[in-house]
Amino acid sequence: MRKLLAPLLAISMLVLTACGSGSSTQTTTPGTTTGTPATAAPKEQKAVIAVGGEAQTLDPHKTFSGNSFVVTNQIYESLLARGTDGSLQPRLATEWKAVNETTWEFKLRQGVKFQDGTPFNAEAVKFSVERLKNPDTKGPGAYIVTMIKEVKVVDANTVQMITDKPFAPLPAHLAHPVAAMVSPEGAKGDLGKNPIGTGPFKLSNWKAGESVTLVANPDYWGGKPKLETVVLRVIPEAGTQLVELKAGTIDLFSGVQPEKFDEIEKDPQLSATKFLGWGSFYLTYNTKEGPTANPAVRKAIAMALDRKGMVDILRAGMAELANAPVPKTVFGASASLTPIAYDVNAAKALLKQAGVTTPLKLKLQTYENAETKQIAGAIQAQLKEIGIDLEIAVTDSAAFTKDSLKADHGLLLSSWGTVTMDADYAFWAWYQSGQHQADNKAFYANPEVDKLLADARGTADEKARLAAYQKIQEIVQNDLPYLPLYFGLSNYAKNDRLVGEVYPFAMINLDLRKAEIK
Amino acid sequence: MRNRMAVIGLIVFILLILTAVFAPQLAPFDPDKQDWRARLQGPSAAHLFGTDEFGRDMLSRTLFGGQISLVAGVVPVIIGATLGTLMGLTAGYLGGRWDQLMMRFLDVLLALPSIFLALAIVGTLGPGLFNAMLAVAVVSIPGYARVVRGQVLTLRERDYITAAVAAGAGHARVIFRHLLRNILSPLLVQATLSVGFSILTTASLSFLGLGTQPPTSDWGEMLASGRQYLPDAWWLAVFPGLFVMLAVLSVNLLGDGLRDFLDPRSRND
Amino acid sequence: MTRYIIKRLVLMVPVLLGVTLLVFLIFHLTPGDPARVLLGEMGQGATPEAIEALRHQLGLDRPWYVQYGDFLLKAIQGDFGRSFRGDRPVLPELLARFPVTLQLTLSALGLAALTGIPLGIIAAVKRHTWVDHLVMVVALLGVSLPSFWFGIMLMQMFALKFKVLPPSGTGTWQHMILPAVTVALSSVAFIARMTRSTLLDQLREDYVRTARSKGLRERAVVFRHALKNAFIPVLTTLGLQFGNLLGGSVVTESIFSLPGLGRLAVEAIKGRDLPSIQGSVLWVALVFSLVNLAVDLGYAALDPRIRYE
Repeated sequence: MRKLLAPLLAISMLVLTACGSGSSTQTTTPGTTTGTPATAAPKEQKAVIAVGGEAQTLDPHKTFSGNSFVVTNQIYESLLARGTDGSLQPRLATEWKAVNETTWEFKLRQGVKFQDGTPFNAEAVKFSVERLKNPDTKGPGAYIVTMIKEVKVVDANTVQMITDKPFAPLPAHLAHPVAAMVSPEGAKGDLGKNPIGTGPFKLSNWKAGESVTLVANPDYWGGKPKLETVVLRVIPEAGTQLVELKAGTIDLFSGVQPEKFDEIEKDPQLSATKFLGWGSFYLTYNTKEGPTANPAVRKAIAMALDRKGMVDILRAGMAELANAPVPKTVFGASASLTPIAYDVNAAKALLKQAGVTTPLKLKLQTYENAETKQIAGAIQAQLKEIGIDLEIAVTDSAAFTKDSLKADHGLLLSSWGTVTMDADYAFWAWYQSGQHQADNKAFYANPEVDKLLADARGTADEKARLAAYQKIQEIVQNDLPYLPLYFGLSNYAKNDRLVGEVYPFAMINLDLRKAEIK
Repeated sequence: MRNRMAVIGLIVFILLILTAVFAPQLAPFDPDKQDWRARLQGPSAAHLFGTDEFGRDMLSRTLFGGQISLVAGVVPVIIGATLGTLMGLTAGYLGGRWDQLMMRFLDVLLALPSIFLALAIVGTLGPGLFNAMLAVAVVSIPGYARVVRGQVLTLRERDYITAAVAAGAGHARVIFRHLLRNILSPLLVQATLSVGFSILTTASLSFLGLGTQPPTSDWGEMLASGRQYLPDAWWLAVFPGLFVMLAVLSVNLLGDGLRDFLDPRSRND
Repeated sequence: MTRYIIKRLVLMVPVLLGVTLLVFLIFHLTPGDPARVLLGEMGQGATPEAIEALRHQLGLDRPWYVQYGDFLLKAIQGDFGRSFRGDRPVLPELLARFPVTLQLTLSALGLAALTGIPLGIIAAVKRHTWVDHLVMVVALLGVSLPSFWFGIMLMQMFALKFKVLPPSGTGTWQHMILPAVTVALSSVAFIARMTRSTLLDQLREDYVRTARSKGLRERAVVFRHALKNAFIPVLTTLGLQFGNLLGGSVVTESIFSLPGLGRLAVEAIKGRDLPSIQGSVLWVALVFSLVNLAVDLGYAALDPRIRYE
């Protein structure tokens, strides 16, 4: 016995000391772990950015993945872009206005050339939009522009976009990275491998699965960027990204784990920033079938969840309590709604009053992800308090996209990004009664809401749109097809030697035109 | 000496089973009781193994986790080893067409990524712990079959086998009397070492809807969900890991003992 | 022997055909819709009509056997199709990822064999002493903790604390050290235990007794006679691990940001990218068939009594 135990103990000690030293690196970080290797090569204008996954292609029209757009958005540009305040900014278009209900006119920036020398003009805009729309392109993001019936070339520097129906959020859609302008000449070849846009950086080298190296475009219309080289490195693990940042081998990564945020901020060489983005984290009720078809059950669940606790403790402050379906950064978000209050006793009373017998069995479906699993676990424990027996089913995200359409699902837990920063994008998908086989997974149908949605889409009058969206949010807070839980904060961490980067809400919008290494 | 080691293995294994069975009595806390304010605390007098991301007591969860992990560690091994051994024995002994057929079929099976197979199992048989164990068992079959077949190929030509066949022993008799006994060593090594792999893999399938679902815990799942809090919250991995190791260790000692017991040659060694 | 090899190579054709068919069948049993997955988190907001249009573009609205026939016809001409995600050719992607996987496999397995086999021999020779037990416990540690744990700990220690190795990625041979050690850790256990166990078996055989009684030194007995015969199961284990590793080791590749085949296959499966799944599984099947053929030939080399007709 002793003979066996001795080596066993020796090994377990080894394990423990290994862990001990691992965690002590964490606490003694400031001043010791960062900087040295990197500053050894002073002021080389090269920034290394971590990306969570590989770009599927460098042709922006053939993909709809964030990891691809992070890369393509450095090479290509869209007509408009997002500012850090959420407003639409001119990019390849300098001015835009609604000519009538179904026609938008864009004045184009003059003297811009694609990276292959092809001039950027109205024809190029027409070509790009039509290419994205064309089924032969096999573009998953074509739906962003399908409402455009015709692109009319008015003169070399003016285009009109004519939609089949009034579509107020069109400018917001044209700010999307998928609506990038591509070189008509370049598109004769394979843009997926040889991307050609008007952007500040151009492709130098793509190592499959590993990194994309970009170099400054000397002829960029906004002036040559200060950074000579930008390397977008694929680093799938968040934990590895943090180690790389501390080791000084990368300059920026996004999606800092809530628990690590303070640790990064305390490091004198590093900094971390968090801010409200476009994301919503929410619960979908099945309003058509099962116990949640009963509005009282939906309300009781809303009252039984300590959403503030989730935000402050479980998400460690990396979220903001949701008062409305979309965060206030999104056009149309209500500022005047207040969240349903956390009150376990009232929730119990409501269930009793509605004649619901407990324990009530209910199923919650979600997909594999650290955050969804964490919040699902919290919801399960809290609903137990009011007599709801929640079964959690976690599947991979591909199966979730299909399972969540089943007519008999119970609760769904998922997240949403209103990437166009316009409420239309989220509200139409969630509440419109024609979207039951797409993203209206609550199977919600309310003729009044349908009408308001169509009205808001059909007018360019911003005041009228805001009023319609306010009304919609009041109705749905009462009908409660979805329960907004919180808005996850966007965030990124960087090495302080990188300065001048602009980060409008999300990594796909990362703007390095004025960035440099100090 | 050898027996003593086997006895130690047996004692450890029985102790693990007992802690799992009597987890409700032994656990100081309700394993599912959340206390957010006490989340991610290191080992202390109140929580000997620390607390997890919901402030649940890790000691209680580890004790309860044994109820699933011990089953998940052993059942797939038994299913996989039985089927794999049968295939390997017959393929190696009979040879020829049958050997080719079996082995080429296993080549196909080996090539399929386990996640892909597991997804097919969710798609056809639905979710659940048993189906997860089945997926793990299926994936392990080629390993056993190839190890057994390799050994049988050399034994087949040995004198005592040819003698047995010449003496008119039937195939079944040769296979079960003579061959099986002589392939035990590699088989038991493969099987007992796979216990840890089974525990970890069964848990790793829970993201497909297979395996345990929250709030139930098992050691593999605890290890996996502690991953994002590494390296700071080391206790989330070390304690369940230690239990997996004890399970693997005891099963290995038992396997060695079993081999010695069943192999007459080793008695006078 | 040559005839046997030719026969085995010919038999690979039905194996590969079987694999492609199985992939198609399994894919259609798998829950999830490739079009919706393609739209992903960013594509929330697509209308039902847009999703249908996308399915049509991918050719997914055809019956599976039509899709399969179409695939086979092209595959015979060497065209493995274009990925659903990004519409890029599958084959070049596979070939680009292979070198990293091969590097990792060779270095990890080399390391595992170079430590596992000697450890197994020492344990067998010094059986039932504390050396034997120590080897066993070290080996078991490798199969009891998940590889991500070792990976993360090694990275913390060598990249952050001692700063002697790069944290992740590729480029220099130093990049490969930590991932190779991580992968090797779990293989060492199998190799060491297998070596010990079968060597002990051999040491109990009659011919060993005879050799010993003739006064042969123990070292000669072990190395010249027993080890060779004990090596068949070890070779099998090595072959299995080699095949597995050439298929890619997802966890290690993810932790150390290596662009290997394992990550490619799992990302394809998660993305329900049928052409990419088909390509990567087919590749692994080819590799496994060749490795298993080599292992079978290795048996015959180790033990001349084994003959293949």
